[in-house]
Amino acid sequence: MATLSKLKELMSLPGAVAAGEFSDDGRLLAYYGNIDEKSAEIAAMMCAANKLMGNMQAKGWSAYTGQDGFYPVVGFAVAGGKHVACIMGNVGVFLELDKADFDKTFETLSRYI
Amino acid sequence: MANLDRLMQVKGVWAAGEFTDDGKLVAYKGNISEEQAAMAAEMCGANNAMAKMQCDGYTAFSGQEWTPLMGWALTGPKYSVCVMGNVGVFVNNDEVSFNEVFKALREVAGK
Repeated sequence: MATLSKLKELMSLPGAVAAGEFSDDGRLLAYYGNIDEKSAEIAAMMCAANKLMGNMQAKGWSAYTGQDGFYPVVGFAVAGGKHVACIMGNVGVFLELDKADFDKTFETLSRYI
Repeated sequence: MANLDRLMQVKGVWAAGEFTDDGKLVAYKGNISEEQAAMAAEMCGANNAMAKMQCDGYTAFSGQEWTPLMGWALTGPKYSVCVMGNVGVFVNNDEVSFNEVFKALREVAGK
């Protein structure tokens, strides 16, 4: 499990508003930041579902093309409105889109895989 | 039609494509067959619809502004798929700056 100190490190990323960890079956394990618990729980469930769907697509794509390198999914991101969610492994961070440094964010998240 | 040549100039990008909302391939460039590009377009269209649903729903649920959907990315051990609007690229993780990729995608997609 990611410790709160790791989530706090994620909160130091440019534009970070919340950070959390989820289980493979979508349970919220821990979170930090400006978000209520119900919203964090829904986010955890969406993250787990997206990770599973991404793995399904990546595995199918690899079988279809014969090309390795897309599977297993390491992480994903979704941007909309004023925000972006960046997830690697089972840890993620919500950022303000206009302030986000994607290279720095993915580099930091990759240490938690 | 989207400027796919602009996307192909970004370091680490090895394929670029444009698709419709219902997942039809509009155009593509790069080291990929047309059949595979069509399959990728279908997946991108489906993922856009799913991500739009999640962004709209999460905005309503949380009260935070996550809509409209702009784009998404999926990363594997060597390669990533990055999509903004109805354009997307395949990239080598080791070569690419994701800041540059998303900047170029936003320009080309008009997001």
